[in-house]
Amino acid sequence: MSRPNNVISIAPELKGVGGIKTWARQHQGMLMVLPCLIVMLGVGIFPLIFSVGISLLRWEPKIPGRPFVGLANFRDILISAEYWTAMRTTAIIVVLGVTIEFFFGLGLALLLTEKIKGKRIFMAILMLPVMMVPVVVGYTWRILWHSAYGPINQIIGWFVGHRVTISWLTHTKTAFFALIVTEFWQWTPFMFLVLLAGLSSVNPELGEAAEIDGASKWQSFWRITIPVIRPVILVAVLIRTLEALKIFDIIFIMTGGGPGISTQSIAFYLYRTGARHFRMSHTAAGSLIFLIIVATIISFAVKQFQDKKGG
Amino acid sequence: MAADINYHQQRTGRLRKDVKLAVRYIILIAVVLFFLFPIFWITVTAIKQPGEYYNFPPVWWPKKPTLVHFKSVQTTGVGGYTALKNSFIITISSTAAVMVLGSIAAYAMARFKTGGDNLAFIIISQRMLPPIAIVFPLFLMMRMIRWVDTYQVMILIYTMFNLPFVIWMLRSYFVEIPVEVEESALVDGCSRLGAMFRVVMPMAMPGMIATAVFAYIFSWTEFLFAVIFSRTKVFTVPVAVSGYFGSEGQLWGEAAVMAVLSMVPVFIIGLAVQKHFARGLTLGSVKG
Repeated sequence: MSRPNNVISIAPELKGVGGIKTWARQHQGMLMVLPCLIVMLGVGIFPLIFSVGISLLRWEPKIPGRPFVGLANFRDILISAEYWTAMRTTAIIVVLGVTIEFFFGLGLALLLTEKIKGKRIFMAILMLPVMMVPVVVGYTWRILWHSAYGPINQIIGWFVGHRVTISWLTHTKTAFFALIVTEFWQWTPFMFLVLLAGLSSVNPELGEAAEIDGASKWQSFWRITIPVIRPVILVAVLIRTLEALKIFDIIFIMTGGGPGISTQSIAFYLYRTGARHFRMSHTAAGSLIFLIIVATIISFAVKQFQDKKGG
Repeated sequence: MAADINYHQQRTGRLRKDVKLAVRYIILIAVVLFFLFPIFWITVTAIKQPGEYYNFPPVWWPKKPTLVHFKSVQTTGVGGYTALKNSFIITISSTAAVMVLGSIAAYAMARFKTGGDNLAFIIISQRMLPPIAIVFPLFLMMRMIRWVDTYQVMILIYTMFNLPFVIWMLRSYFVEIPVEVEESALVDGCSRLGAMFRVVMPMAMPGMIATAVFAYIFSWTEFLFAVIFSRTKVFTVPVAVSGYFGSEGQLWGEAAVMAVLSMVPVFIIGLAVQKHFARGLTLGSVKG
């Protein structure tokens, strides 16, 4: 892509035709991007602007009309304990989940860097969770965690020697644990596959050369492998973080936000406010606050991507 | 004597290597078991006798496997095979739409640098925004034009939802194709669109197929939009699965059948593009 585009604008048959055709030719790039932009503006950006409008009104079933209330909805949300509980829940799942997924994913990827029999099959098996419908993953694990009919309690029972009936999903702490294990199951393979792709692009001679120069395996890992795959690590962690922030499906299926409201994520809380209580204004305000937080992370992410491209 | 020591060293060296390899395989087998077990369990639940899943201790393999739930899945809940049909219609249509729109835009962005990096980053940031932020305003908009619970609204949403991903992926594949190939086609009298369709796209075909597969998987597995925009007609597979935990009690067998039916299509097409997987997961930025 080093050449400027006009070098290849060869269109002898159109020279001098003038009018629309020439104009279209001059703006062909924009014209080709336009349909996409229309869809994205209409279905993506316009609702967002609409949402800002809704957040300034009071739009809910019990209140007649849609009176303008200014920033009152934002104030309501910011002082709402439920909103901040949901924020905390989301943060816990994102931070713990992504961290554990990263370290296990990296460990697995390192195990498979060298040529080993059955590598392709192993990779294929680990692709399966990533492709599954999250609702189905949630449903499957809900059965696995079941206090009486679930195999997890049964297996624990084999080890402790008597029947175990932990009801995992009805206590806050165990419910968190169950959710994180479920997330771990579905998304560790994501980390693994991406990091493995990064690791296989590292030239093995680099490490060998370092070891000849007297570096230990550990040193060559920290000083050579990690710096080389740093961009891949960044991409993997950022994408996973942004995806995990949206967590909704498995909470919907596994705990329904319970016990109480303790495992409500932001997306789930906003879903309930909107779809069950029809408090559109509070939903809009809550979404916008959440959006600002996510946008901050994205702008950080974009900066990282740009740095990576530059360097 | 010296040779003897050497021999011993070699032997212990090889032994250590063997032990290391064994340990590595043991870990890998444990990992495989962990990741396959839930899939095994849900599949077995689908073929258990009704009520056999309410058994203590849990049954690992049904005494008489049955397909009865594959029938009852249509007659209970919202109708499993209808959901499957809906999912196919919506997913295939939106994938086709997003590939057509996205490949044209990606080509322009790769070749003419339309919009430059700024446009590319605006597009990708839309992908990263939480969908919960637009789902309700979009719902209110669509209610005004009476599009809730229709195929077209789901197709439109999934097309929008996948556009950023498809544009980024395809752009990364198109950029890799040398400009010279196209130039010679243009010199030979090919039009710009002709060069795009006859020269560039066939060369980028493996990447385009992988991209389409990913768009397909994203639409197939999406739940939030599906659950909000469906009422009684246009419910997709994930909505159907969630529906078996309704007020009618918990229909484990039926939900398990739906789970199995939801896995089969994506597993097949996903494994077919294994080589492109890491790249797809990272929106084209990590080349596997």
